[in-house]
Amino acid sequence: MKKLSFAIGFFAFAFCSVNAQTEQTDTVKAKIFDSNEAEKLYNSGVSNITSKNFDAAITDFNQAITIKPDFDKAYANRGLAKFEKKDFQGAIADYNKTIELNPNADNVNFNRAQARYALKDIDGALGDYNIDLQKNPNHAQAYYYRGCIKFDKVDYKGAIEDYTSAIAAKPDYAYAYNDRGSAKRQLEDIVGAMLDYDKATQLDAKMAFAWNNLGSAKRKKGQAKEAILDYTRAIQQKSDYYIAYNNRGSAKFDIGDYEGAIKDFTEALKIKPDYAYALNNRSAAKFKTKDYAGSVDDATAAIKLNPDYGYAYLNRGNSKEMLRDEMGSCSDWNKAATLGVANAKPYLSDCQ
Amino acid sequence: MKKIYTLLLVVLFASVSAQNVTFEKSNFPDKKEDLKIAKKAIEEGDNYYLTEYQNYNRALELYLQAQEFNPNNDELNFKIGDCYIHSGFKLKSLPYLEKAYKLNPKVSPEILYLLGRANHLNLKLDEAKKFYNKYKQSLDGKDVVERTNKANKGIDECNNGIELMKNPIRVFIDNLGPTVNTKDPEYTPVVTADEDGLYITSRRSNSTGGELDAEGIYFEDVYVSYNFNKKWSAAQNLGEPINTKVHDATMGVSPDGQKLFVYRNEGGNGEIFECDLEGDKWSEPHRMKSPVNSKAHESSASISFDGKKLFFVSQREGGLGDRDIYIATKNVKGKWDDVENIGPTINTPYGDEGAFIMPDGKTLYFSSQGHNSMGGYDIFKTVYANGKWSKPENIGYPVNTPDDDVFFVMAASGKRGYFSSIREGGYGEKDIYMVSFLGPEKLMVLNTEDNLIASQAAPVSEVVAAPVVAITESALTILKGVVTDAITLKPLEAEIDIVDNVRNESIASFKSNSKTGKYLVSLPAGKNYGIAVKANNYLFHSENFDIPLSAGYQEVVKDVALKNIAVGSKIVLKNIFFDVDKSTLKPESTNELERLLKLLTDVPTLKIEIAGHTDSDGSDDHNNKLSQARSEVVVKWLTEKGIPISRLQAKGYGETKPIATNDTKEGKSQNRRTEFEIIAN
Repeated sequence: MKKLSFAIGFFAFAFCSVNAQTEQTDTVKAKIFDSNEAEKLYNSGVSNITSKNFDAAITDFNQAITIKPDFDKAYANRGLAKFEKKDFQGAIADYNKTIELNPNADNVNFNRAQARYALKDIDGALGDYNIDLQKNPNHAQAYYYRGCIKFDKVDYKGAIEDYTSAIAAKPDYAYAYNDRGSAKRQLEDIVGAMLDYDKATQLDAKMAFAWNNLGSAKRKKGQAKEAILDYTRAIQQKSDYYIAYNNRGSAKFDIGDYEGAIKDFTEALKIKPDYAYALNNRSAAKFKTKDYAGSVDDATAAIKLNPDYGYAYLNRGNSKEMLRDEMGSCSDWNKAATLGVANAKPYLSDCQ
Repeated sequence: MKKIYTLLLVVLFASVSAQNVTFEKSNFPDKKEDLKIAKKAIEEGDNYYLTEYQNYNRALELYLQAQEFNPNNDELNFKIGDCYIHSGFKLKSLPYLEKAYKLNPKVSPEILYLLGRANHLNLKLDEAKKFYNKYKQSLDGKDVVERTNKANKGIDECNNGIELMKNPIRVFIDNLGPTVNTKDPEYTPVVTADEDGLYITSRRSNSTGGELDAEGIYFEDVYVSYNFNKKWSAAQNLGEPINTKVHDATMGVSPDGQKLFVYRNEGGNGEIFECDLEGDKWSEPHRMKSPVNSKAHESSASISFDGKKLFFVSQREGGLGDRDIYIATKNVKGKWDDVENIGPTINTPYGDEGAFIMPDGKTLYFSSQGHNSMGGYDIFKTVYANGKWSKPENIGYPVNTPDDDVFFVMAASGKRGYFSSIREGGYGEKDIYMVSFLGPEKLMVLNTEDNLIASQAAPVSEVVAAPVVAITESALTILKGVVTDAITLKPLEAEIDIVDNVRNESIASFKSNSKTGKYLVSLPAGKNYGIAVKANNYLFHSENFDIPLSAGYQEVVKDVALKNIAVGSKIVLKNIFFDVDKSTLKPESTNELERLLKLLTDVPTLKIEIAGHTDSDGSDDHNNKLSQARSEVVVKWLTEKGIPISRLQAKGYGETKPIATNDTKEGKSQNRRTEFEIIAN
């Protein structure tokens, strides 16, 4: 059978060559048939994936598949290359073909799950992770990503179970620790979250987001001073981490260091000038320093970026009140209330 | 050379400034005439300062003249400091007392106490405590216990001040401006519940009689200012008969502004006078009889919203302190016959003054030198609930200060208060200020976000949500408006009865102003009120206000046009209630039915139709039957009370005569009603 395939391949090649010859007679060269060419092209493709030359890899896999149409691994790896190029639909088509050719191909369900997840086909992804885990019950990554899906579905308990399985399969799985911490945090198990984030930073001290998350958990626990140290570690790992600047500013706000908070919000805005949260928060900090006019300016800028920013209206209303702008404050509180900010409603009783 | 000369001058000045300079010729060899004038000023000043009836203001003027000549005399600085402490400009005392102490720490045995007081008034509370303690240590001889207690009180007040200043209340304090305030003293403001009218005491040159009292200040007169779109009109002297040649001062005003309490100092004894607004004229104030007034001094009077209780201050014997708050209760005959001390929860061994009862009938503001005052009189709030007054709560700094904060009144809304004070930027002496209470600081809301999922770049945001802040406001409804003749539109003096529908009790009775037709009634939350507006030869008008306990402050303007008793006149009986979908009268209807009964009794020629109406819910047949049954029940009630059936006609109109839309809950509520119409007279 194998021989027959090669024969078909050779015949097809010869036919094509003849056709080509009629058009470009001066460039025809005889091609020597290589029985391992598909594999060689495949290997070249794998090498190109490793060196992140995804276009070249796809070309290699295309050729390999042309030579060997039932080359399941070539489909699988072409899927990977397409995934990397964010051609998720193309990747899924290749994974489908792989499964068709070899239902037991390694990791193919996992990879298709990743592509489906990227396309927000959450249930499709979940199904693939489940199949993958049936095939490979110790697949830490599959547990991890299934945990992420459960997290997205607000099934934090289910997520924690999967992250725990991922950690059991891969004890140094820093991401899983981070995310389990986040799931615990969502369940208000802040102490548990702090322990997991702490472990994640121990496993990989370069994970800026884990330091940031650790800081946020501590802040939630009322440990604003300690949180500031963690946010600082996050910023040390990632100097343009505007989220951590914003969070550190908020923690400084918590401890009454309003000037420090203003500096951090300003730093966040240097990195990301259209960061409405930092503008809103700086407005709040300026209110505390009695710079009511500055507070109004910042809230106004935040509203300009996000016209439905209810909290910015609320904050601006508060500052306008201190500037004795009764109509302005009432108008802002009213707008905040219509945007669903519950805090604004009782303030309206002050308005005539 | 120039530098050396300057240095020498500084050294010389420093040396001189640190020394006590007596008023002796040897110290002023070249200024004998000026010295003589300065000594004369001191001598004259002493005549005011050292006598039994001290006139600190006059003494101060003279001492300051001498001070200009010689600013480095220990005794003079001490006297100036002491005069300032007793003047309207107390804060200015500190530098003089400090200088006196620096020049001569033993200038007076009282210097340490006065330095404590001056620092205290200037909010240098730690420094004040040091001087009060030094004063205690310096005491010997007579009155040690009394003077120690005085110092201890000062220390306690400083400690209270330190605590209160940790959490200042959020307020705007605004001078009411030049239409109300002048260079002369203005004080004891009283205000109507809706802040339409403000009555103040002032000592201006246009005081009635134009004479000066023993202190050399014009006698007190009562002035009024009106609020037009948040602007206060020029304060007008109320003239006679309120004001006389002697002291006439504000004490209190009823929530509707129809009754004024005035202070007069008859026979050297402060007493409470009351007068009524009749049209646009005030009646002759008459002295309130015993037991409200006594042989002792009475000051401050505040009447409850229903006119049945009077809160006042008296120094009569048997009190708990210097001056106490008392409550007088009106008996069924309308006489004030029961006076009782408000009790030790509120009254202290010190002075308690300036009682002001809110139109909710249960919240009392008053001033006290006791409790946790931060100095002098502070303003406190207490609430009557479950048969007792709550522990007084200091309303807080910066409304309260180490100086006397007294005669504070609050608008019905609970959002603004009025008081007098001497403050920077004022128009001179005491001025009237309005304090706007902002409530707890409105919390600013922050937004943060985190990268919760390691494998995802997208951050997850979180609102650092602040809890909803409760806004404190009066649980009170102010109902006000104008009563007129429905046809001529002329203002009417009408009687306004307020009834507790559930308890079938009359709560209060008021009159609208005969000139303007204006009326104002206070309806504290938590009751089902029936309001009846009545005038001779008119059909009564009724309103119903069912105000739940949780309701906040609201002002409802309801103009009432009374209809003549004439054929065709028709009114809605808003206080007749039936069980849902039944024709059973609820007990809350009794007062309204009795009003109707009285009308039919008073005018025996009247023949009326009682008409029942429903909303559009339910079938026509059902609604017709229900409305007919309800009207018949009312007719039956009236016949059982003796009204001949020949004068009564029951008619059920079902849903055929709506007076509002049936598309809304409110409209349906209006359509479900019982009316009566005069069909013959």
